[in-house]
Amino acid sequence: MKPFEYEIENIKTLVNEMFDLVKDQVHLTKEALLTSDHDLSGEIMRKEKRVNAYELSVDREIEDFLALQAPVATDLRFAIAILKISASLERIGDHAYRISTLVFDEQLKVNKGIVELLQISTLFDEIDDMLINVSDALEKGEIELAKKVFKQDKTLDKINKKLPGLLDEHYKNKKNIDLHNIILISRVVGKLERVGDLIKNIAEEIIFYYESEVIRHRKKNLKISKKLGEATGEAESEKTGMEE
Amino acid sequence: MNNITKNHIKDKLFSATGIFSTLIGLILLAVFIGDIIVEGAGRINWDFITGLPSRKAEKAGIYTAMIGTVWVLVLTTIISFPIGVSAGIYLEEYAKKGRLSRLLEVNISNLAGVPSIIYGLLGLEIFVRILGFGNSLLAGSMTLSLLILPIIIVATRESIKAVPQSIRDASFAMGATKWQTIQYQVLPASFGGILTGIILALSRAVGEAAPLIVVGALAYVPFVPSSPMSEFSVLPIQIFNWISRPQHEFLVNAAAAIIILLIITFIMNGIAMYLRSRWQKKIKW
Amino acid sequence: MLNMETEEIIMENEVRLTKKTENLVTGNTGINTEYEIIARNLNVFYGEFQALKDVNMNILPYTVTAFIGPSGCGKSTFLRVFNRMNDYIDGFRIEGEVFVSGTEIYSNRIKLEELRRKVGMVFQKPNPFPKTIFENVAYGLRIQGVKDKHFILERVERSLKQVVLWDEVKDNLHKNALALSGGQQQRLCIARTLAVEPEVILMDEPTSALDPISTGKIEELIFELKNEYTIVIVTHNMQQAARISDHTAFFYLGELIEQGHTKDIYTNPKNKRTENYITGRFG
Repeated sequence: MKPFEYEIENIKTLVNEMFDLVKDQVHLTKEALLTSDHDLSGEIMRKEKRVNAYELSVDREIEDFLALQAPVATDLRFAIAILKISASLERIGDHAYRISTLVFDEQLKVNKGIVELLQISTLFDEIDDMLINVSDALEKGEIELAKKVFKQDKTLDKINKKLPGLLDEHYKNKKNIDLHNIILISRVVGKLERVGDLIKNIAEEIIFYYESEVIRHRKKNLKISKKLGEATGEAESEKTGMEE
Repeated sequence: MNNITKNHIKDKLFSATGIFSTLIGLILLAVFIGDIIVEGAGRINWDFITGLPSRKAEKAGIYTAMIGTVWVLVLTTIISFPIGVSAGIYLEEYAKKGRLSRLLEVNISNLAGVPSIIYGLLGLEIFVRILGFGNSLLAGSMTLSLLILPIIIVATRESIKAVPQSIRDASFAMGATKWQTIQYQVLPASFGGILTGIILALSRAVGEAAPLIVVGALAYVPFVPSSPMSEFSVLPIQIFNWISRPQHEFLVNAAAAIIILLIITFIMNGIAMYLRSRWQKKIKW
Repeated sequence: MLNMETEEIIMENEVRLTKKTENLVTGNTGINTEYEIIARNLNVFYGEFQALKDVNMNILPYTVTAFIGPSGCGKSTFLRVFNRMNDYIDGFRIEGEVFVSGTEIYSNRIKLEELRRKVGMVFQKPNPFPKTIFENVAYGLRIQGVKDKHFILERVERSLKQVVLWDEVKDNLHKNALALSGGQQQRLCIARTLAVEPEVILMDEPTSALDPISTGKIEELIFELKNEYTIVIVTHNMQQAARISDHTAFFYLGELIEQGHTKDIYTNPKNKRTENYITGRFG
């Protein structure tokens, strides 16, 4: 093995550990939310520091890797992809942390009815699965697993989109509406949807790393152009291609 | 006529001059050898080679002179080889590079150009008279050794110099001493060159008559020398002797002896060339 | 700003990572804290010219230390101090102390030959002896007076295997070494050095005369060899120093400008001249 291959292995190990930690955080968040577990949410908030530390470690390792090994081609894409993946993972961690703070600070309570109505369990399970898919995709280089994530993300989007209508329907003829809780719960769903997007970004980076194909913004740009009735052109999509 | 054509003509002109200069030497040599062969080839036979010297031209042979030449060659090699090579190694590898060593260098190069008769006089004084060797093979060989020592030293130094410094560095860095480095690396790598130099020097010695005459080699030796202290003759002296006779038959003998002498020197040069080419093939830095 | 805990966690991660690297790389369990090479207040002169100015350096065993710097900065001179190859240069004079595994090497009691068996050297241009491959590797043992044929054979095979040359030459051990390719020759030169089991290997731009593939092989080899040897390498190739060394020292005009972990030198050099040199903004 070449010297720099050891470095790559090290970084991969580090990222895998970060993946495991974030999966764990998301999983625990579900539990804390559904059981309104004050202590557990506190623990998640404490562990958020670990996630941040991992991001910094990965950054430092990548910095050394770039400085010392001057990687090119696949190794260069690896370094760039990992930088972005760790940033996305950190933000997923952030979302888990924020959901936990809702439980911890705001005493957010969810009843069974609303959980079922908004398919919150499904959302979490889907995210769990997506995280497993992307981490496996990164580890084993299986692009298909990464591509699967795009479809799974659509499920999240759909639920998120239906949210106003569902709530409307549900609370139509009810009194004593706990508006505070409803707003909080819809925030949770919004955050979970964002987590889905972040995982999608990770999947895109994995594809970029393994196949050197940039698929970011492609579909979205098309969609924007269509909505605004513009002609789709490369230059146009470049211009509108901003971070969502 | 522009400059380019002018230069072109100059180029051609020099090329023609060069060819002429090269050929003139070769042609003269060819004419000379041809003349000798025409004159003397018929005289060469087994009797001529194994015959003792005689006052009658048709009976005279070169046997004693040839054996004398071989004796001189062997003794000269034995004497000059170790001294010359050691001196060369010392000057190249051990002597501190300074004014003294430069002085030595210049003098040794100059010695190579000193007329051979002067070496003869030196040999006569030191070996024949002071050391009392008499008109012996030993005195003659020592004189010839003196004559060719500078050539051997220079040849040794040149071949040692051709061994790249990197090889010495490698050997030293492996923990070798200076002598180990010379013994295992420098000498084996330069030996072909040294040997070539020695053979060329010896082939010069073979053709020398003047210093040997001064030392006292005889023109007429009716017996084969049996020890280094014997009196002796060599081919060039035999030739010189025959040429100075008035009878035409002796001139023919001289031509025949010249052919033999030429063959000996050509063979020696051939060996030298062979060694050099083999050495060069074996070692490419 | 990071809070304390986060920093602690990062530290923890780093320590774990370095340990992991160390285990992966060296397979060493314990770390020897004694220095293999120590240079103190070293000044080197060639006649009137001062080639090195007050250099201090400690080199740990089982590490790769790279010397970088522009031509004529004294890095090669410093390298050659450790096996006293400068001694042959006219006007060479040294002040200060140099220790190799605890012994002052410029003391009168030191035998050059012994020092050089302990401190091997690989040169810029591959310089195998014009002998067979076998004799090249056996040379160090032969000049030590080793006669045991079996022992020599074993050592030659082991050394050639160490440099991953055995499979390429095992059927041609008695072929002239000069028939090998440049990269093979350089690996042979390294094998020749390994055969006498040195503690330190000095490398003076060992890949500057080689093609990229051969260079890669030599670099890989250096990476492997630091399990068993202390390696000091002079290189003009900054990227090479970055790739293979644990510590880097930057020389400029005979002065040691900066030394430290290669990671630190290449990500955050303290001295402006170091930064200019490694970023290619020199002069």
